[in-house]
Amino acid sequence: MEKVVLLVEDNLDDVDLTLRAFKKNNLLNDIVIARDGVEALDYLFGTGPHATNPNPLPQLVLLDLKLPKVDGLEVLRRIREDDRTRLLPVVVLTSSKEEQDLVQSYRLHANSYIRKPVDFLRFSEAVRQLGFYWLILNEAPPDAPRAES
Amino acid sequence: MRLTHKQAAYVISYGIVTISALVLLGWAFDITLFKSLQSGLTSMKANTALTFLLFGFSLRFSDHLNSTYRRLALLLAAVGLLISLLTLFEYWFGWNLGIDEALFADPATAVTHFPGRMSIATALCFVLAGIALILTILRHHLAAHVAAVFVGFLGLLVLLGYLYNVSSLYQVFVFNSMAAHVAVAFGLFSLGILHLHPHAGLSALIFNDTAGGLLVRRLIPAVILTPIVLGGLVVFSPQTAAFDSKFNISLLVLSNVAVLFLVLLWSASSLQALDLDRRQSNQQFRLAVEASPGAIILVNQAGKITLVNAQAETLFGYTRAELLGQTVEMLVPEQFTGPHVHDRTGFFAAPTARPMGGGRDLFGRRKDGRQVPVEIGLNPIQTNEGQFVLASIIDITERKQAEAEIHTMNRELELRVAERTAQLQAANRELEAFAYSVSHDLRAPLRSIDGFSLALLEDYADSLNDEAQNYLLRVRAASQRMAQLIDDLLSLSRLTRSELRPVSVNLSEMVESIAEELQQAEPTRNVTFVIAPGVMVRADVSLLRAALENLLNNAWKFTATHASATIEFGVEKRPSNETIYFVRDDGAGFDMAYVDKLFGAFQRLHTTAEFSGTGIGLATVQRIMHRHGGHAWAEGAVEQGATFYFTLPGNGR
Repeated sequence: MEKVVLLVEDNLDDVDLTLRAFKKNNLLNDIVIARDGVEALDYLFGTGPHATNPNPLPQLVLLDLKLPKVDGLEVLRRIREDDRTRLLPVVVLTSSKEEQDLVQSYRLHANSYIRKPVDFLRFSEAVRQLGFYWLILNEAPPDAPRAES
Repeated sequence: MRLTHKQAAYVISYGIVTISALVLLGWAFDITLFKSLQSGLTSMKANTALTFLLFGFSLRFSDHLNSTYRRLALLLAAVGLLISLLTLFEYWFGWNLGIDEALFADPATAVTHFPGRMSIATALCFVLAGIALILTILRHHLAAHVAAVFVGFLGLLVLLGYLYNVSSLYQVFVFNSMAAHVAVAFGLFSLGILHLHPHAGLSALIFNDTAGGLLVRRLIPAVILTPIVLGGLVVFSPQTAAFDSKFNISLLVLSNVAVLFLVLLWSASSLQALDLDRRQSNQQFRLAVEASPGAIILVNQAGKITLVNAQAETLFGYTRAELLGQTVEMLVPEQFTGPHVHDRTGFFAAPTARPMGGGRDLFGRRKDGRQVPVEIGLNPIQTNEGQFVLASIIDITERKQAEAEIHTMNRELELRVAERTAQLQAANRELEAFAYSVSHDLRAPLRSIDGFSLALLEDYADSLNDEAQNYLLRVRAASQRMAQLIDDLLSLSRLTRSELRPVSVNLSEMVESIAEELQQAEPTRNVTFVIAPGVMVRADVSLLRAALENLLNNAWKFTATHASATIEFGVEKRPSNETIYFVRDDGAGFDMAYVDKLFGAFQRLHTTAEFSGTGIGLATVQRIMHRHGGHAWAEGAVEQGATFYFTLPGNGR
């Protein structure tokens, strides 16, 4: 079974554009959308609405930083703190390239930091490359920690 | 060369040593000249010469700094004293201890009862002289001086005998009298003792610069010499022999009176001048005290006020009459009067000019009880009425007020600075939050505009005519341009927010690497770079690189319309010793009329169609130079290229 990609993004336009970019680049993975940090954490840790039916870990998390409720950096911190999700590939996909965002993301062990270009053609190209790399080229870490829990 | 009294004493001691040594030589080699000056006259006996030798050395070493020498001097004096005492005992008890001819036999006195023995007068003088020496060494100067004066008078007495040819004065027994040179030596010895410590004992009366000292120094020689000289004239004058002795004595008394009267008049005139001078000094001192801008109070050792000036009256609110004769503690705040008495006593124990209080804040007590902050300088004054202290007192009320005001102002200033700093920090934080929000939120809508415009173009190309498609293309171009503007704006604002980290930077290498990048990006361009080598500065690397990138990108961009171009980086040294760096191109240049607009943010001299850009580059360069304490400016002409200068203070070659 193809593993899903978790897209954490509050902006609907960005969601649509990201999905469009995936589709245009023939990336056929299922994409689960979390509209804020809480939704993302519930999905990953099987809490809240997902408590009764925990999901398998996604193959990749695309994480926006500026999110309602719990922001992206906090989500990243919790992912890295938990043994189950510690090795999960997380790519920060956001608007800013403010130094503090970059430094904080890498300090929390983000796997990549991609800034969304305004030009859709370049955005699409960025999505194509990151999808190709993280979903096809890159060997994902084993699921072992999940089994332990 | 003027000798000091002490040096004179030493010279005298050498003289005594020399005389006695010569006499001893005379005894050893039977030289009559040395022994008796002239054959038939009384000789200086060997023991006399020996004792003088001992006393001469003793005098020389009696005040030596090294205590060993002083002990030697004491020993020499004691031996001399012993010799003379033994001689006296010989006379008294009729002994012959064999000491008289112990050194040399004296054939001239062989037939007498006391061959070779010094006279009783000599022995007595030696006893006195020895005591004087020992007292001097033990620092009992007054007693020593009295003994020495006796010795001197006895010597003088004997000399007078020789002078006036009156043998009874020097000849106690036949062939046993004091020799003339012995008398001279005793006179010298007496002078030596008096000169050795000129500021102690009797000498202190003679050798001082007071009127008394002057009087003594003038009168003593006159009192001694006048009768001797006049007496001699009377005794030896052939005319006086004709008159009877009463007449001669009357003549002597009259001439004595006359001469002494003249000496007295002369001394009196000198003393009067001296006294007037001192009165004038005293008057000047009082005038100076009165004219002093500060309050002055003179206090004696008992703590009584003896002199005040008008300023002191004003400062303390008392009249002069109320102050004089009172204890100075009346002007000291009550809680300090006790310690003040103690300190005052301490000052008189070790009087030195110094400020009072040792750094503490001092206060004076006025008549009305009010306390005044003061500063007090103390100066010891030694007068013939004893030790005084001159206190000059300055009212520092105004200074204290000014200090307090300055203190308050500083406090206020500090508070204001702290307030401003806090405001500035808050503003900076706001700016940062704003920039953060801009970078996140302002771009997102632009992405939507661009993305969905493209989606329209892609998905609905069939239903959109060319015009509609063109509009959408323009929507996309505008949104992308706005994104670029936002990015530039953010980076410009980041320049002012980031911390400056100056390090050593090689500008030449930096320019070379940027030039290389430019040429790699557009290899078809024919541009020559001329780069001055080894230009080193101290600056923030990333900021300087950003500035140079902007300047070189500009040069590259504005030479694009020319087939070939030259871009130069160099350094100039201005006469003002300022080092100026520049980037010069021979491209499109600009009209100097618009030079003011060049460095403003978002100001452009060319349309985007002519040359691309947002108009933020030179504003960035200027801001980077400002952050380094320097500035940037430009010169150019249309189609004749442009030169961009910048300075980085604190950097020279």
